[in-house]
Amino acid sequence: MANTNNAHDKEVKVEDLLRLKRAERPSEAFWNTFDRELHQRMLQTLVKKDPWYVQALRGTSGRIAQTAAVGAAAALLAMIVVRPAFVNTAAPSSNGAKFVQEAVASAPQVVEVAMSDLEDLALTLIPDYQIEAISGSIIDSGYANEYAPDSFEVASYGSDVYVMDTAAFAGTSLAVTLVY
Amino acid sequence: MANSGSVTKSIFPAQEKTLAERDLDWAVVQKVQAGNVGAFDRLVQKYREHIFSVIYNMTSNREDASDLTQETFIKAFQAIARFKGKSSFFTWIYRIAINHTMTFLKKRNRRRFISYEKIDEEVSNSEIFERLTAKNRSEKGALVSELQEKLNDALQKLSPKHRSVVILHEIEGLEHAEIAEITKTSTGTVRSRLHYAKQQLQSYLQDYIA
Repeated sequence: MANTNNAHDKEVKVEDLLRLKRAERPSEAFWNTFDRELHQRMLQTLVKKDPWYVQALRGTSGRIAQTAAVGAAAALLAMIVVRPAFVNTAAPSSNGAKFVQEAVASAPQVVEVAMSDLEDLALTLIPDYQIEAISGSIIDSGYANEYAPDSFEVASYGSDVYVMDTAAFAGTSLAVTLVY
Repeated sequence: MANSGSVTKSIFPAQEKTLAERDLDWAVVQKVQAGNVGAFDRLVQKYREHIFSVIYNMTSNREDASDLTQETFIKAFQAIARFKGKSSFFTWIYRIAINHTMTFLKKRNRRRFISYEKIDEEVSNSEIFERLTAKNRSEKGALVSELQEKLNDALQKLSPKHRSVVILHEIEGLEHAEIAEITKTSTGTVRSRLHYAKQQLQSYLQDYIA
């Protein structure tokens, strides 16, 4: 039995062989070079390195920028694809006159002002253009016309939030409201 | 630990892995986090040989191992502000080393030449070499070189995952639970990989066994 144990003890196992690898180790000269190189590399890192909170901030701002970029792309896509589709569906396809009437009815109420008021206003405003004609057309309705300055009246309406000009065309039920 | 002589006797003495040792490392880490960059050198001196050993045995190339060990410490230094001490520094630095080496091995599309460290004289005079010399009836010097080549060759035949477990357990002397923490696997997986890897090594090295 003792002999068997001795024989067993003298067996070479995988573990024994692997432990020999512990003896494969570099010399002191290697570690001197290693330390010198590591210090140089760490110094370079230190010079280049941002503080950790800047790195963290950069990471966060990077994610925000990424989110913003995706959002902007989505908004642009919506403007290009969705908006024209919306405008087209909103435009009348057959009954142009009805559409115009509805548009006029839903427009802000026109406030009648006296011409004298306009003349007073004209003194303070110096126009840099002259209106010769206004052409009007309604998309997809087949309606198009041109109106000379003497054929329409212009009323002006101002408020805190917007300025509105309305033109009502003589001889027609058509009025155009410009809000800006 | 800076004394390289400690490596042959015990790769990781049990007392080094105690809570006190962990606290000691944590104290040094906190100094580095507070801006005492020089304190990091204490961690380098303490762990450089172990990290080098793991990487060297993973790559079988001393130049690659030297570069990767330096890079491991640089990575650790760059990330030390984020180290919260939830695991021990020892586990953390080993994990960085293993992951960095795994990435390197994946990128290394073809096997590079192997360059070995010299085997320590003491070991070549050890009992195991006496037994091997007697068994193989060969000259000791030749046997040392041959066995070194065969051992490295056998390790390189293992997959990196199996290799890392064998190296950490059999060469570095880490426990299953520690390896599981480093590799972020279960102890069951570690045991299973270890068992399979040893079986493979046994078949590769059968000329020297038993």
